[in-house]
Amino acid sequence: MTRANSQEWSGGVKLLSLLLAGLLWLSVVLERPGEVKLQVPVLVRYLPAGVGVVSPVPASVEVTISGPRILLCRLPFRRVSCGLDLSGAAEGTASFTPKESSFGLDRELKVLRIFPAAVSLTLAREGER
Amino acid sequence: MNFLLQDIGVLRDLLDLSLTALIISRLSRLLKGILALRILAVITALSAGHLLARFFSLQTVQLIFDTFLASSVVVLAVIFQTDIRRGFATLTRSRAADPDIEMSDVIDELVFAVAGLSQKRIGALIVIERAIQVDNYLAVGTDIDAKVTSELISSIFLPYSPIHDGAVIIQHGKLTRAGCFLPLTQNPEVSKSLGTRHRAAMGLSELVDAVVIVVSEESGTASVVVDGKKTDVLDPPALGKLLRRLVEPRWLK
Repeated sequence: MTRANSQEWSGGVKLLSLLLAGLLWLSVVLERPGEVKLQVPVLVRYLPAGVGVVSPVPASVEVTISGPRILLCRLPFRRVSCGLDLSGAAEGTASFTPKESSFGLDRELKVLRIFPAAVSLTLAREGER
Repeated sequence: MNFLLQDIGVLRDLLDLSLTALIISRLSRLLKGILALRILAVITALSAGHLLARFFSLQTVQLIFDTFLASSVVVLAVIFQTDIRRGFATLTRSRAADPDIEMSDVIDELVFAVAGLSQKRIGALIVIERAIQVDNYLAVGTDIDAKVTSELISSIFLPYSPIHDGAVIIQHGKLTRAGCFLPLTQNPEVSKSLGTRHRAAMGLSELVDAVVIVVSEESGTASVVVDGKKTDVLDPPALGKLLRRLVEPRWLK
């Protein structure tokens, strides 16, 4: 190996070592647990046939999610929503509590807090509106 | 207090990153040549791939990257076993060499023999074993097991000697073999002007930590080859000084 090649090799090793160290360090740091607070839109799902929501549906809920930071980093770019399952709902006013599964998150992510914890909705027959 | 703790966290991360870079850089230096650089690039690409796959939750791709990364340690250990062994031998080498009469005798005899051969322009190849055994890399050769003397070395390399065409091996301060063929260097960057003797010296020194002395038949120049690097020695005192620096007494006992 000539002197110039040796210097080039040494420079290449230093650069790649730094890059690899950066990537390894990033892998470790991004696996650390963290928390993120998001405003997610509320979507009403599985409404029984002939029944409609007559009260205003809240536009969004505030949810605090915890988990590995690498997965939390992606949340702002994902379309996260709070889907309220109304499949068993009947006419009248009822309170619906969003569950962890309502947000469709990765299995490694956990929902810590939801505000408001429950959404109150009034349902009525389509003809009675 | 919070700010202070935050600062400590940043410092700790910086220290973590710097030490990781230092460890990787040092480990890379144990390996040699362009192959090490390529392998480092492949591991970097695999790490980047792992991060991207994790970020996008591509579980199957992540599994592939993780498997490659996990097995790369074993693969690297197998590919670079000689480099790693030589690297660790260099790490464990003690810096202080005790003055030793026996060692001084061997080196003096070697210097005297090399000076004589250089003067007469007789080609020679002398291998001094250090921490790593050279036996596995030697082909043919004649067992000798004799005390190292300048007369014996000179007579082995005389052109009409039947064993003049190979290398002389010195192990534990004794001349153990002569007429040995050494592996030639595979490094494409070695100058084409170098002959087979120099190529053999480089080839062996790339595999083990031995010190190889070469006397050129054409120019009469003596060179010392260690770790695949050739150093031309201008005069006998310089050769003696260099050998005393490179060879510890424990390797001549």
